[in-house]
Amino acid sequence: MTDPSVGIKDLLVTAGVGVFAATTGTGIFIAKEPPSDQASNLVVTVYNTPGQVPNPKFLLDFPAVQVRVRGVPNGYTVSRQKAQDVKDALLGLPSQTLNGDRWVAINGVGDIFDAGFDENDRPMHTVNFDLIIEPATGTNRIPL
Amino acid sequence: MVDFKSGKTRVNREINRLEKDFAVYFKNVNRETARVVQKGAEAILAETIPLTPVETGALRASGRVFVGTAVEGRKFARIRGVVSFGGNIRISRERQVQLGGTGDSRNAPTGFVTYAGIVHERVGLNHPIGQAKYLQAGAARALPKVRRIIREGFKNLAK
Repeated sequence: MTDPSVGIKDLLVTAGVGVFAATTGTGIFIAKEPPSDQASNLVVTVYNTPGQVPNPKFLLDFPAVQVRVRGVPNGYTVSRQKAQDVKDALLGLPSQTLNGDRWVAINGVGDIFDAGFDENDRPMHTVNFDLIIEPATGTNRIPL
Repeated sequence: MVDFKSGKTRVNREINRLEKDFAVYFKNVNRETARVVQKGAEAILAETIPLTPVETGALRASGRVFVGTAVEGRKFARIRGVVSFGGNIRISRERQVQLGGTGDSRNAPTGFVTYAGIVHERVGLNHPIGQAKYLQAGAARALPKVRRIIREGFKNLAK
């Protein structure tokens, strides 16, 4: 299965939420957020998080991701809207094949969480999603 | 000749008995459900505590269970169990130490833990003990135990 955070990144880029690894406008990153004192733009970072137990017999996984939005200093309303844009881009999508895997569903877990401000007064928000993915290939499991 | 009056009295008596039986049944269901919710929430907290990051022990000490029951004229009560960390509970030094922390007041100088949600959500941080998403992971681990508790509840009601 292709890394779920890569799939989410692709969906966000396609939806126009941001540009991968951009240092101006809204930059979208995977697994590691650029340092707060170095990146001056709005940053969206996608992290893989622990999901549910994968099906042991069939090729069916339940990974999870967190999308973290970090705004510009004291730019709360803009970064909050960006978090909403992330939600709008990912929820309600139809089942589709993405990077070879069948992405059955993207479900929200809770709503946008305002995680305060970092040491450089940059507002932070997180949005979590549970995924249902049928991987394209697997060694021992049976495709659905 | 059919005696309608005594027949009606007999039916009314049966209806009254049924109503009393149902009242007992609803009471049992509500009581057992509250017990199941309490036990299930405690199971989740028990699985979550070891996964909760610890430094001074304040965060772990703020973990708790709350079960609320709302009857409001309903036959089946609305029962809600909540497992939470932080918030408006003041933690004690003894409890901090009991859960593996240093017990000092660095992180929660007022006795209130204000950072539970942030520690939970910041998945990019590396914790020497515990992990981010501690409550989510704890709930997932507790799921088999919670299922057993619910099954036990159904068995108790069927007795």
